[in-house]
Amino acid sequence: MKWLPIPILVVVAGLAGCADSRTPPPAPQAAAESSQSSILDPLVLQQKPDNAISVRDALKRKEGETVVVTGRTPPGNVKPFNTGVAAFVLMAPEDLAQEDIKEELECEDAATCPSCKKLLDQFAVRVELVDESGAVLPTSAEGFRGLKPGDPVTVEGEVKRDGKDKKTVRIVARKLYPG
Amino acid sequence: MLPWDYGVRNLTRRPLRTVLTGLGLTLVVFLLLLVVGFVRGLELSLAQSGDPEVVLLHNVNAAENLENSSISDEVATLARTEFAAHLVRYGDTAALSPEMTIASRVGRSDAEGQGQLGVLRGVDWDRAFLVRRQVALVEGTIPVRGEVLVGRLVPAKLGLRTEDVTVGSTLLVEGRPWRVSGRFAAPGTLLESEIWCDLGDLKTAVRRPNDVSVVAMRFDPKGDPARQMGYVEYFCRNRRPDLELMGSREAEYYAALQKHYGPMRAMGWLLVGLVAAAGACGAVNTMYAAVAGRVREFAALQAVGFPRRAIGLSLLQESVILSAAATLVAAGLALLLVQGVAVRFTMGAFTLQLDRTALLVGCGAGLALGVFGAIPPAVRAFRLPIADALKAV
Repeated sequence: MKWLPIPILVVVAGLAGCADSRTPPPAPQAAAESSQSSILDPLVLQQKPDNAISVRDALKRKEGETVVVTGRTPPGNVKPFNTGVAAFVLMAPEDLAQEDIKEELECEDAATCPSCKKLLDQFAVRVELVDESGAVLPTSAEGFRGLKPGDPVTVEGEVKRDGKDKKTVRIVARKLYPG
Repeated sequence: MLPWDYGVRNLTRRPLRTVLTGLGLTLVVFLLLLVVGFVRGLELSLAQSGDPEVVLLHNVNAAENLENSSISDEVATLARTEFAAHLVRYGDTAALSPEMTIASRVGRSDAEGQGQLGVLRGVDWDRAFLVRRQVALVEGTIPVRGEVLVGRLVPAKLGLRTEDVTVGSTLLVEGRPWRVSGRFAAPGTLLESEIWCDLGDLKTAVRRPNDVSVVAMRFDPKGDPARQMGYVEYFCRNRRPDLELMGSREAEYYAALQKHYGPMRAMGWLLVGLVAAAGACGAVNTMYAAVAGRVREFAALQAVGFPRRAIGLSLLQESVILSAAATLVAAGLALLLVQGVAVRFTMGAFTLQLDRTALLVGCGAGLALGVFGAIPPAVRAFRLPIADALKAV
Protein backbone atom coordinates (compact mmCIF):
# COMPACT_ATOMS: atom_id res chain seq x y z
CA MET A 1 0.00 0.00 0.00
CA LYS A 2 3.07 2.26 0.22
CA TRP A 3 2.86 2.80 -3.56
CA LEU A 4 -0.78 4.04 -3.41
CA PRO A 5 -0.05 7.77 -3.01
CA ILE A 6 1.97 7.79 -6.26
CA PRO A 7 -0.87 7.07 -8.71
CA ILE A 8 -3.14 9.38 -6.69
CA LEU A 9 -0.54 12.17 -7.03
CA VAL A 10 -0.31 11.50 -10.79
CA VAL A 11 -4.10 11.76 -11.19
CA VAL A 12 -4.25 14.95 -9.09
CA ALA A 13 -1.39 16.51 -11.11
CA GLY A 14 -3.20 15.62 -14.32
CA LEU A 15 -6.45 17.18 -13.12
CA ALA A 16 -4.60 20.30 -12.00
CA GLY A 17 -3.12 20.61 -15.47
CA CYS A 18 -6.60 20.60 -16.95
CA ALA A 19 -7.60 23.74 -15.06
CA ASP A 20 -7.11 26.88 -17.09
CA SER A 21 -7.06 30.26 -15.44
CA ARG A 22 -7.28 32.19 -18.76
CA THR A 23 -10.54 33.79 -19.74
CA PRO A 24 -12.41 31.41 -22.04
CA PRO A 25 -13.30 32.72 -25.53
CA PRO A 26 -16.93 33.81 -26.10
CA ALA A 27 -19.17 30.83 -26.84
CA PRO A 28 -19.90 30.43 -30.58
CA GLN A 29 -23.63 30.10 -29.86
CA ALA A 30 -23.72 33.53 -28.20
CA ALA A 31 -22.08 35.10 -31.28
CA ALA A 32 -24.57 33.40 -33.62
CA GLU A 33 -27.53 34.55 -31.54
CA SER A 34 -26.24 38.12 -31.56
CA SER A 35 -25.88 38.02 -35.36
CA GLN A 36 -29.38 36.53 -35.75
CA SER A 37 -30.89 39.23 -33.55
CA SER A 38 -29.18 42.05 -35.41
CA ILE A 39 -30.57 40.74 -38.72
CA LEU A 40 -34.13 39.92 -37.60
CA ASP A 41 -34.83 42.53 -34.91
CA PRO A 42 -35.70 45.30 -37.43
CA LEU A 43 -38.57 43.13 -38.73
CA VAL A 44 -40.25 42.55 -35.37
CA LEU A 45 -43.62 44.20 -34.74
CA GLN A 46 -44.15 45.70 -31.31
CA GLN A 47 -47.47 43.96 -30.86
CA LYS A 48 -49.50 41.30 -32.58
CA PRO A 49 -51.64 42.81 -35.37
CA ASP A 50 -55.42 42.63 -34.93
CA ASN A 51 -56.24 42.01 -38.58
CA ALA A 52 -54.40 38.73 -38.97
CA ILE A 53 -56.00 36.03 -41.12
CA SER A 54 -55.47 32.32 -40.72
CA VAL A 55 -53.27 30.20 -42.95
CA ARG A 56 -56.42 28.60 -44.38
CA ASP A 57 -57.57 32.01 -45.61
CA ALA A 58 -54.10 32.94 -46.84
CA LEU A 59 -54.09 29.87 -49.08
CA LYS A 60 -57.03 31.35 -51.00
CA ARG A 61 -55.54 34.82 -51.54
CA LYS A 62 -54.37 36.03 -54.91
CA GLU A 63 -50.82 36.67 -56.07
CA GLY A 64 -49.63 40.13 -55.04
CA GLU A 65 -52.07 40.66 -52.14
CA THR A 66 -50.59 41.99 -48.90
CA VAL A 67 -51.77 39.96 -45.95
CA VAL A 68 -51.16 39.53 -42.23
CA VAL A 69 -51.13 35.80 -41.53
CA THR A 70 -51.08 34.02 -38.21
CA GLY A 71 -50.31 30.34 -37.89
CA ARG A 72 -48.21 27.73 -36.15
CA THR A 73 -45.00 26.07 -37.26
CA PRO A 74 -45.38 22.30 -37.69
CA PRO A 75 -43.70 19.87 -35.29
CA GLY A 76 -39.96 19.16 -35.22
CA ASN A 77 -40.08 16.07 -37.51
CA VAL A 78 -41.07 18.34 -40.39
CA LYS A 79 -38.03 20.58 -39.75
CA PRO A 80 -40.14 23.66 -40.45
CA PHE A 81 -37.28 26.14 -40.09
CA ASN A 82 -34.68 26.48 -42.83
CA THR A 83 -31.20 26.13 -41.35
CA GLY A 84 -29.51 28.63 -43.63
CA VAL A 85 -31.96 31.46 -44.34
CA ALA A 86 -34.97 33.07 -42.65
CA ALA A 87 -37.61 30.81 -44.16
CA PHE A 88 -40.10 28.58 -42.44
CA VAL A 89 -43.43 26.85 -42.83
CA LEU A 90 -46.72 27.85 -41.19
CA MET A 91 -49.94 25.87 -40.87
CA ALA A 92 -53.34 26.60 -39.35
CA PRO A 93 -53.60 25.22 -35.79
CA GLU A 94 -56.94 23.60 -36.71
CA ASP A 95 -55.24 21.65 -39.51
CA LEU A 96 -52.35 20.63 -37.25
CA ALA A 97 -54.90 19.31 -34.77
CA GLN A 98 -56.57 17.00 -37.30
CA GLU A 99 -55.79 13.36 -36.51
CA ASP A 100 -54.83 12.28 -40.02
CA ILE A 101 -52.52 15.27 -40.52
CA LYS A 102 -50.99 14.80 -37.06
CA GLU A 103 -50.32 11.15 -37.82
CA GLU A 104 -48.77 11.92 -41.20
CA LEU A 105 -46.48 14.59 -39.77
CA GLU A 106 -45.33 12.33 -36.95
CA CYS A 107 -43.42 10.10 -39.37
CA GLU A 108 -39.63 10.05 -38.96
CA ASP A 109 -38.96 11.23 -42.50
CA ALA A 110 -41.60 13.97 -42.48
CA ALA A 111 -39.02 16.49 -43.69
CA THR A 112 -38.28 14.54 -46.89
CA CYS A 113 -41.10 12.12 -47.66
CA PRO A 114 -43.18 12.92 -50.77
CA SER A 115 -46.56 12.40 -49.08
CA CYS A 116 -45.68 14.84 -46.30
CA LYS A 117 -44.52 17.29 -48.95
CA LYS A 118 -47.90 17.00 -50.72
CA LEU A 119 -49.64 17.62 -47.41
CA LEU A 120 -47.56 20.72 -46.74
CA ASP A 121 -48.17 21.99 -50.27
CA GLN A 122 -51.90 21.66 -49.61
CA PHE A 123 -52.18 22.99 -46.05
CA ALA A 124 -49.12 25.16 -45.39
CA VAL A 125 -47.70 28.48 -46.49
CA ARG A 126 -43.96 28.97 -46.90
CA VAL A 127 -42.78 32.18 -45.31
CA GLU A 128 -39.55 33.93 -46.16
CA LEU A 129 -38.34 37.02 -44.32
CA VAL A 130 -36.70 39.48 -46.68
CA ASP A 131 -34.85 42.74 -46.48
CA GLU A 132 -35.76 45.97 -48.28
CA SER A 133 -34.22 44.75 -51.53
CA GLY A 134 -36.33 41.59 -51.43
CA ALA A 135 -33.41 39.26 -50.69
CA VAL A 136 -34.07 36.58 -48.12
CA LEU A 137 -32.28 37.23 -44.83
CA PRO A 138 -29.16 35.06 -44.39
CA THR A 139 -29.92 33.62 -40.98
CA SER A 140 -32.21 30.91 -39.70
CA ALA A 141 -35.28 32.12 -37.82
CA GLU A 142 -35.20 29.14 -35.47
CA GLY A 143 -34.21 30.17 -31.97
CA PHE A 144 -34.88 33.86 -32.63
CA ARG A 145 -36.59 35.09 -29.45
CA GLY A 146 -37.08 31.44 -28.49
CA LEU A 147 -38.89 30.41 -31.69
CA LYS A 148 -39.06 26.64 -32.08
CA PRO A 149 -41.13 24.07 -34.00
CA GLY A 150 -44.76 24.14 -32.90
CA ASP A 151 -44.73 27.83 -31.94
CA PRO A 152 -47.22 30.42 -33.21
CA VAL A 153 -45.96 33.16 -35.54
CA THR A 154 -47.63 36.13 -37.27
CA VAL A 155 -46.14 37.67 -40.42
CA GLU A 156 -47.06 40.51 -42.75
CA GLY A 157 -46.11 40.23 -46.40
CA GLU A 158 -47.01 39.67 -50.01
CA VAL A 159 -48.62 36.53 -51.40
CA LYS A 160 -46.78 34.68 -54.15
CA ARG A 161 -48.23 31.64 -55.84
CA ASP A 162 -45.80 28.97 -57.14
CA GLY A 163 -45.71 25.49 -58.55
CA LYS A 164 -46.95 24.15 -61.84
CA ASP A 165 -50.60 24.83 -60.95
CA LYS A 166 -49.87 27.95 -58.83
CA LYS A 167 -51.41 26.26 -55.82
CA THR A 168 -48.51 26.50 -53.39
CA VAL A 169 -48.44 29.78 -51.49
CA ARG A 170 -45.39 31.69 -50.36
CA ILE A 171 -45.47 34.80 -48.16
CA VAL A 172 -42.62 37.21 -48.77
CA ALA A 173 -42.69 38.93 -45.39
CA ARG A 174 -41.10 42.13 -44.10
CA LYS A 175 -42.73 42.09 -40.69
CA LEU A 176 -42.79 39.43 -38.03
CA TYR A 177 -44.40 38.87 -34.65
CA PRO A 178 -43.05 35.77 -32.91
CA GLY A 179 -45.90 34.45 -30.80
CA MET B 1 -0.35 -27.01 -12.12
CA LEU B 2 0.32 -29.57 -14.82
CA PRO B 3 3.36 -28.83 -17.05
CA TRP B 4 2.67 -26.87 -20.22
CA ASP B 5 4.08 -29.54 -22.50
CA TYR B 6 1.75 -32.14 -20.98
CA GLY B 7 -1.15 -30.58 -22.79
CA VAL B 8 0.88 -30.15 -25.98
CA ARG B 9 2.03 -33.80 -25.92
CA ASN B 10 -1.56 -34.96 -25.46
CA LEU B 11 -2.45 -33.37 -28.78
CA THR B 12 0.19 -35.50 -30.53
CA ARG B 13 -0.80 -38.71 -28.78
CA ARG B 14 -3.82 -39.13 -31.05
CA PRO B 15 -2.68 -37.37 -34.24
CA LEU B 16 -5.59 -38.40 -36.46
CA ARG B 17 -8.20 -37.14 -33.99
CA THR B 18 -6.23 -33.93 -33.51
CA VAL B 19 -5.94 -33.32 -37.25
CA LEU B 20 -9.61 -34.04 -37.91
CA THR B 21 -10.75 -31.81 -35.05
CA GLY B 22 -8.39 -29.09 -36.25
CA LEU B 23 -9.73 -29.43 -39.80
CA GLY B 24 -13.30 -29.14 -38.57
CA LEU B 25 -12.47 -26.02 -36.57
CA THR B 26 -10.60 -24.53 -39.54
CA LEU B 27 -13.62 -25.03 -41.77
CA VAL B 28 -15.98 -23.47 -39.22
CA VAL B 29 -13.76 -20.40 -38.72
CA PHE B 30 -13.22 -20.08 -42.49
CA LEU B 31 -16.97 -20.12 -43.05
CA LEU B 32 -17.43 -17.52 -40.31
CA LEU B 33 -14.82 -15.26 -41.92
CA LEU B 34 -16.46 -15.72 -45.33
CA VAL B 35 -19.88 -14.64 -44.07
CA VAL B 36 -18.54 -11.78 -41.96
CA GLY B 37 -16.43 -10.66 -44.94
CA PHE B 38 -19.60 -10.54 -47.05
CA VAL B 39 -21.51 -8.48 -44.48
CA ARG B 40 -18.59 -6.10 -43.91
CA GLY B 41 -18.03 -5.71 -47.66
CA LEU B 42 -21.66 -4.66 -48.12
CA GLU B 43 -21.58 -2.31 -45.13
CA LEU B 44 -18.29 -0.69 -46.11
CA SER B 45 -19.19 -0.22 -49.78
CA LEU B 46 -22.40 1.58 -48.78
CA ALA B 47 -20.59 3.65 -46.15
CA GLN B 48 -17.68 4.63 -48.40
CA SER B 49 -19.74 5.35 -51.51
CA GLY B 50 -21.12 8.57 -50.06
CA ASP B 51 -18.76 11.55 -50.17
CA PRO B 52 -19.53 13.78 -47.14
CA GLU B 53 -18.86 16.95 -49.17
CA VAL B 54 -21.21 16.02 -52.03
CA VAL B 55 -24.83 17.13 -52.19
CA LEU B 56 -27.14 15.66 -54.83
CA LEU B 57 -29.96 17.61 -56.42
CA HIS B 58 -32.58 15.13 -57.60
CA ASN B 59 -36.29 14.70 -58.19
CA VAL B 60 -38.31 15.03 -54.99
CA ASN B 61 -40.05 11.71 -55.70
CA ALA B 62 -36.83 9.76 -56.13
CA ALA B 63 -35.25 10.28 -52.72
CA GLU B 64 -34.74 6.54 -52.21
CA ASN B 65 -33.72 5.49 -55.70
CA LEU B 66 -31.72 8.01 -57.66
CA GLU B 67 -31.83 5.85 -60.80
CA ASN B 68 -35.51 6.82 -61.07
CA SER B 69 -34.75 10.53 -60.76
CA SER B 70 -35.33 12.85 -63.70
CA ILE B 71 -34.73 16.60 -63.48
CA SER B 72 -34.48 19.33 -66.05
CA ASP B 73 -31.25 19.98 -67.90
CA GLU B 74 -31.28 23.61 -66.76
CA VAL B 75 -30.83 22.66 -63.08
CA ALA B 76 -27.07 22.39 -63.49
CA THR B 77 -26.81 25.97 -64.80
CA LEU B 78 -29.19 27.30 -62.14
CA ALA B 79 -27.35 25.53 -59.36
CA ARG B 80 -23.98 26.77 -60.58
CA THR B 81 -25.24 30.34 -60.21
CA GLU B 82 -27.27 29.83 -57.05
CA PHE B 83 -24.52 28.11 -55.05
CA ALA B 84 -21.50 29.77 -56.66
CA ALA B 85 -20.26 31.19 -53.36
CA HIS B 86 -20.43 27.85 -51.53
CA LEU B 87 -19.02 25.30 -53.96
CA VAL B 88 -15.47 24.00 -54.13
CA ARG B 89 -13.75 25.62 -57.11
CA TYR B 90 -10.80 24.66 -59.24
CA GLY B 91 -9.84 27.94 -60.83
CA ASP B 92 -12.98 29.19 -62.53
CA THR B 93 -14.66 25.80 -62.56
CA ALA B 94 -17.09 24.88 -59.81
CA ALA B 95 -17.18 21.28 -58.62
CA LEU B 96 -20.63 20.59 -60.01
CA SER B 97 -21.40 17.57 -62.18
CA PRO B 98 -24.65 16.88 -64.03
CA GLU B 99 -25.09 13.12 -64.37
CA MET B 100 -27.52 10.62 -65.80
CA THR B 101 -27.73 7.20 -64.20
CA ILE B 102 -29.62 4.35 -65.82
CA ALA B 103 -29.75 0.58 -65.47
CA SER B 104 -29.52 -1.30 -68.74
CA ARG B 105 -28.64 -4.68 -70.18
CA VAL B 106 -24.92 -4.88 -70.93
CA GLY B 107 -23.08 -7.75 -72.52
CA ARG B 108 -20.22 -8.68 -74.74
CA SER B 109 -20.78 -7.67 -78.33
CA ASP B 110 -19.91 -11.17 -79.54
CA ALA B 111 -22.06 -13.04 -77.03
CA GLU B 112 -25.60 -14.28 -77.44
CA GLY B 113 -28.37 -13.32 -75.06
CA GLN B 114 -29.38 -10.03 -73.49
CA GLY B 115 -26.51 -9.65 -71.04
CA GLN B 116 -26.70 -8.66 -67.39
CA LEU B 117 -28.11 -5.56 -65.76
CA GLY B 118 -25.40 -2.94 -65.49
CA VAL B 119 -25.39 0.65 -64.20
CA LEU B 120 -24.44 3.34 -66.70
CA ARG B 121 -23.53 6.86 -65.67
CA GLY B 122 -23.33 9.66 -68.23
CA VAL B 123 -20.99 12.40 -67.05
CA ASP B 124 -19.44 15.67 -68.15
CA TRP B 125 -15.76 14.71 -68.41
CA ASP B 126 -14.65 18.25 -67.56
CA ARG B 127 -16.43 18.19 -64.22
CA ALA B 128 -17.05 14.63 -63.08
CA PHE B 129 -13.65 14.10 -61.48
CA LEU B 130 -13.93 17.41 -59.62
CA VAL B 131 -16.86 15.97 -57.70
CA ARG B 132 -16.15 12.21 -57.73
CA ARG B 133 -12.93 12.37 -55.74
CA GLN B 134 -12.89 8.61 -55.12
CA VAL B 135 -12.54 7.87 -58.85
CA ALA B 136 -9.16 7.59 -60.58
CA LEU B 137 -8.30 6.49 -64.10
CA VAL B 138 -5.99 3.47 -63.82
CA GLU B 139 -5.72 2.32 -67.41
CA GLY B 140 -6.43 3.68 -70.88
CA THR B 141 -7.91 7.07 -71.76
CA ILE B 142 -11.00 9.18 -71.12
CA PRO B 143 -13.71 8.09 -73.57
CA VAL B 144 -14.75 10.01 -76.64
CA ARG B 145 -18.10 9.50 -78.37
CA GLY B 146 -18.97 5.84 -78.70
CA GLU B 147 -16.62 4.79 -75.90
CA VAL B 148 -17.01 3.91 -72.25
CA LEU B 149 -14.89 3.83 -69.12
CA VAL B 150 -15.47 0.76 -66.94
CA GLY B 151 -14.96 0.33 -63.22
CA ARG B 152 -12.73 -2.48 -61.97
CA LEU B 153 -15.73 -4.45 -60.67
CA VAL B 154 -17.72 -4.27 -63.91
CA PRO B 155 -16.70 -7.82 -64.99
CA ALA B 156 -18.01 -9.18 -61.67
CA LYS B 157 -21.21 -7.16 -61.99
CA LEU B 158 -21.82 -8.44 -65.52
CA GLY B 159 -20.80 -12.01 -64.79
CA LEU B 160 -17.89 -11.78 -67.23
CA ARG B 161 -14.22 -12.62 -66.94
CA THR B 162 -11.77 -9.76 -66.42
CA GLU B 163 -10.19 -10.61 -69.80
CA ASP B 164 -13.55 -10.00 -71.51
CA VAL B 165 -13.66 -6.36 -70.42
CA THR B 166 -10.23 -5.01 -71.25
CA VAL B 167 -9.22 -1.76 -72.92
CA GLY B 168 -10.09 -2.09 -76.59
CA SER B 169 -12.86 -4.66 -76.09
CA THR B 170 -16.45 -3.86 -77.04
CA LEU B 171 -19.60 -3.97 -74.91
CA LEU B 172 -23.16 -3.96 -76.19
CA VAL B 173 -25.22 -1.31 -74.35
CA GLU B 174 -28.70 -0.20 -75.33
CA GLY B 175 -28.31 -2.26 -78.49
CA ARG B 176 -25.19 -0.34 -79.52
CA PRO B 177 -21.56 -1.38 -79.44
CA TRP B 178 -19.37 0.78 -77.19
CA ARG B 179 -15.59 0.48 -77.15
CA VAL B 180 -13.91 0.27 -73.73
CA SER B 181 -11.38 3.11 -73.69
CA GLY B 182 -10.16 2.67 -70.14
CA ARG B 183 -10.70 1.43 -66.61
CA PHE B 184 -11.14 3.35 -63.40
CA ALA B 185 -10.77 2.52 -59.73
CA ALA B 186 -12.95 3.77 -56.91
CA PRO B 187 -11.86 1.47 -54.08
CA GLY B 188 -14.52 0.37 -51.64
CA THR B 189 -17.37 2.21 -53.39
CA LEU B 190 -20.28 1.14 -55.55
CA LEU B 191 -19.02 3.48 -58.29
CA GLU B 192 -16.45 0.82 -59.17
CA SER B 193 -19.14 -1.42 -60.65
CA GLU B 194 -20.44 1.28 -63.00
CA ILE B 195 -19.85 2.00 -66.67
CA TRP B 196 -19.21 5.66 -67.42
CA CYS B 197 -19.72 7.43 -70.73
CA ASP B 198 -20.19 10.91 -72.14
CA LEU B 199 -23.41 12.52 -70.88
CA GLY B 200 -24.49 13.69 -74.32
CA ASP B 201 -23.82 10.25 -75.75
CA LEU B 202 -26.00 8.56 -73.16
CA LYS B 203 -28.82 11.08 -73.48
CA THR B 204 -28.91 10.39 -77.22
CA ALA B 205 -28.79 6.64 -76.72
CA VAL B 206 -31.71 6.59 -74.24
CA ARG B 207 -33.62 9.37 -76.04
CA ARG B 208 -33.74 11.75 -73.08
CA PRO B 209 -32.29 14.96 -74.50
CA ASN B 210 -33.73 17.38 -71.94
CA ASP B 211 -33.07 15.90 -68.56
CA VAL B 212 -30.48 14.42 -66.26
CA SER B 213 -30.79 12.21 -63.18
CA VAL B 214 -28.89 14.26 -60.63
CA VAL B 215 -26.66 17.27 -60.26
CA ALA B 216 -23.83 16.39 -57.89
CA MET B 217 -22.18 19.34 -56.14
CA ARG B 218 -19.21 19.53 -53.81
CA PHE B 219 -19.68 22.09 -51.09
CA ASP B 220 -16.79 23.84 -49.39
CA PRO B 221 -15.85 21.67 -46.38
CA LYS B 222 -15.00 24.83 -44.39
CA GLY B 223 -18.64 25.98 -44.59
CA ASP B 224 -21.36 25.10 -42.10
CA PRO B 225 -23.02 21.92 -43.45
CA ALA B 226 -26.39 22.81 -41.88
CA ARG B 227 -26.37 26.24 -43.50
CA GLN B 228 -25.34 24.77 -46.85
CA MET B 229 -28.29 22.35 -46.77
CA GLY B 230 -30.48 25.32 -45.77
CA TYR B 231 -29.43 27.14 -48.96
CA VAL B 232 -30.16 24.02 -51.01
CA GLU B 233 -33.56 23.57 -49.39
CA TYR B 234 -34.43 27.23 -49.94
CA PHE B 235 -33.55 26.90 -53.63
CA CYS B 236 -35.60 23.73 -54.02
CA ARG B 237 -38.68 24.72 -52.00
CA ASN B 238 -38.89 28.48 -52.29
CA ARG B 239 -36.94 29.69 -55.30
CA ARG B 240 -37.80 26.97 -57.81
CA PRO B 241 -40.62 24.75 -56.48
CA ASP B 242 -41.73 24.24 -60.09
CA LEU B 243 -38.65 22.08 -60.75
CA GLU B 244 -39.71 19.57 -58.03
CA LEU B 245 -36.20 19.25 -56.68
CA MET B 246 -34.77 17.99 -53.46
CA GLY B 247 -31.25 18.12 -52.07
CA SER B 248 -29.67 15.20 -50.20
CA ARG B 249 -26.21 14.75 -48.75
CA GLU B 250 -24.74 11.80 -50.62
CA ALA B 251 -23.45 10.28 -47.38
CA GLU B 252 -26.99 10.38 -45.92
CA TYR B 253 -28.44 8.84 -49.08
CA TYR B 254 -26.14 5.83 -48.76
CA ALA B 255 -26.76 5.68 -45.01
CA ALA B 256 -30.47 5.35 -45.80
CA LEU B 257 -29.63 2.57 -48.25
CA GLN B 258 -27.74 0.82 -45.45
CA LYS B 259 -31.02 0.69 -43.56
CA HIS B 260 -32.71 -0.67 -46.67
CA TYR B 261 -30.23 -3.55 -46.70
CA GLY B 262 -30.62 -3.99 -42.95
CA PRO B 263 -32.55 -7.28 -43.25
CA MET B 264 -29.84 -8.74 -45.50
CA ARG B 265 -27.12 -7.68 -43.07
CA ALA B 266 -29.13 -9.04 -40.15
CA MET B 267 -29.45 -12.38 -41.95
CA GLY B 268 -25.72 -12.35 -42.52
CA TRP B 269 -25.01 -11.86 -38.83
CA LEU B 270 -27.61 -14.51 -37.98
CA LEU B 271 -25.78 -16.90 -40.29
CA VAL B 272 -22.56 -16.04 -38.47
CA GLY B 273 -24.23 -16.95 -35.17
CA LEU B 274 -25.63 -20.20 -36.55
CA VAL B 275 -22.31 -21.28 -38.05
CA ALA B 276 -20.55 -20.46 -34.78
CA ALA B 277 -23.17 -22.44 -32.84
CA ALA B 278 -22.81 -25.41 -35.19
CA GLY B 279 -19.06 -25.24 -34.81
CA ALA B 280 -19.34 -25.08 -31.06
CA CYS B 281 -21.56 -28.16 -31.00
CA GLY B 282 -19.05 -30.03 -33.13
CA ALA B 283 -16.14 -28.93 -30.97
CA VAL B 284 -17.92 -29.89 -27.75
CA ASN B 285 -18.87 -33.26 -29.24
CA THR B 286 -15.28 -33.97 -30.22
CA MET B 287 -14.00 -32.95 -26.82
CA TYR B 288 -16.58 -35.14 -25.09
CA ALA B 289 -15.28 -38.11 -27.10
CA ALA B 290 -11.68 -37.22 -26.29
CA VAL B 291 -12.38 -36.80 -22.58
CA ALA B 292 -14.48 -39.96 -22.35
CA GLY B 293 -11.44 -42.03 -23.23
CA ARG B 294 -9.24 -40.34 -20.60
CA VAL B 295 -11.36 -40.68 -17.46
CA ARG B 296 -8.85 -43.09 -15.83
CA GLU B 297 -5.97 -40.78 -16.75
CA PHE B 298 -7.66 -37.85 -15.01
CA ALA B 299 -8.50 -40.02 -12.00
CA ALA B 300 -4.86 -41.13 -11.76
CA LEU B 301 -3.66 -37.55 -11.89
CA GLN B 302 -6.07 -36.63 -9.09
CA ALA B 303 -4.93 -39.66 -7.11
CA VAL B 304 -1.29 -38.48 -7.23
CA GLY B 305 -2.28 -35.08 -5.97
CA PHE B 306 -3.09 -32.80 -8.93
CA PRO B 307 -6.19 -30.73 -8.20
CA ARG B 308 -9.19 -30.78 -10.59
CA ARG B 309 -8.54 -27.16 -11.42
CA ALA B 310 -5.08 -27.99 -12.80
CA ILE B 311 -6.39 -30.87 -14.90
CA GLY B 312 -9.26 -28.73 -16.16
CA LEU B 313 -6.82 -25.99 -17.14
CA SER B 314 -4.70 -28.50 -19.00
CA LEU B 315 -7.80 -29.63 -20.94
CA LEU B 316 -8.59 -26.03 -21.70
CA GLN B 317 -5.00 -25.51 -22.83
CA GLU B 318 -5.22 -28.39 -25.30
CA SER B 319 -8.51 -27.16 -26.66
CA VAL B 320 -7.37 -23.55 -27.03
CA ILE B 321 -4.04 -24.49 -28.67
CA LEU B 322 -5.94 -26.54 -31.24
CA SER B 323 -8.55 -23.87 -31.88
CA ALA B 324 -5.91 -21.13 -32.04
CA ALA B 325 -3.92 -23.08 -34.63
CA ALA B 326 -7.10 -23.76 -36.61
CA THR B 327 -8.05 -20.08 -36.41
CA LEU B 328 -4.65 -18.97 -37.69
CA VAL B 329 -4.85 -21.37 -40.63
CA ALA B 330 -8.43 -20.34 -41.41
CA ALA B 331 -7.56 -16.63 -41.22
CA GLY B 332 -4.56 -17.13 -43.50
CA LEU B 333 -6.65 -19.06 -46.04
CA ALA B 334 -9.43 -16.48 -45.89
CA LEU B 335 -7.05 -13.57 -46.45
CA LEU B 336 -5.54 -15.46 -49.38
CA LEU B 337 -8.70 -16.73 -51.04
CA VAL B 338 -11.57 -14.50 -49.90
CA GLN B 339 -10.19 -10.99 -49.42
CA GLY B 340 -11.15 -8.75 -52.34
CA VAL B 341 -13.35 -11.28 -54.14
CA ALA B 342 -16.11 -9.40 -56.03
CA VAL B 343 -19.76 -10.17 -55.33
CA ARG B 344 -22.58 -9.03 -57.58
CA PHE B 345 -25.84 -7.68 -56.17
CA THR B 346 -28.75 -5.54 -57.34
CA MET B 347 -27.12 -2.13 -57.00
CA GLY B 348 -23.76 -3.10 -58.37
CA ALA B 349 -20.91 -5.12 -57.00
CA PHE B 350 -18.70 -4.99 -53.96
CA THR B 351 -15.68 -6.90 -52.67
CA LEU B 352 -15.57 -9.13 -49.62
CA GLN B 353 -13.71 -7.25 -46.90
CA LEU B 354 -11.81 -8.95 -44.13
CA ASP B 355 -11.19 -5.81 -42.14
CA ARG B 356 -10.38 -5.47 -38.45
CA THR B 357 -13.99 -6.15 -37.44
CA ALA B 358 -14.22 -9.29 -39.57
CA LEU B 359 -10.94 -10.67 -38.29
CA LEU B 360 -11.87 -9.82 -34.70
CA VAL B 361 -15.21 -11.62 -34.99
CA GLY B 362 -13.78 -14.62 -36.84
CA CYS B 363 -10.70 -15.10 -34.70
CA GLY B 364 -12.61 -14.32 -31.51
CA ALA B 365 -15.20 -16.94 -32.39
CA GLY B 366 -12.47 -19.46 -33.17
CA LEU B 367 -10.79 -18.96 -29.80
CA ALA B 368 -14.15 -18.98 -28.04
CA LEU B 369 -14.88 -22.37 -29.61
CA GLY B 370 -11.72 -23.65 -27.98
CA VAL B 371 -12.65 -22.27 -24.58
CA PHE B 372 -16.30 -23.26 -24.50
CA GLY B 373 -15.66 -26.53 -26.25
CA ALA B 374 -13.57 -27.73 -23.30
CA ILE B 375 -15.74 -26.67 -20.37
CA PRO B 376 -18.70 -29.09 -20.60
CA PRO B 377 -16.53 -32.18 -21.17
CA ALA B 378 -14.26 -31.17 -18.29
CA VAL B 379 -17.22 -30.75 -15.96
CA ARG B 380 -18.55 -34.14 -16.98
CA ALA B 381 -15.17 -35.82 -16.54
CA PHE B 382 -14.91 -34.78 -12.89
CA ARG B 383 -18.35 -35.97 -11.85
CA LEU B 384 -17.22 -39.50 -11.09
CA PRO B 385 -15.54 -40.15 -7.70
CA ILE B 386 -11.81 -40.97 -8.08
CA ALA B 387 -12.19 -44.58 -6.98
CA ASP B 388 -14.92 -45.28 -9.56
CA ALA B 389 -13.08 -43.37 -12.27
CA LEU B 390 -9.93 -45.50 -11.74
CA LYS B 391 -12.00 -48.60 -12.42
CA ALA B 392 -13.68 -47.11 -15.54
CA VAL B 393 -13.19 -48.85 -18.90
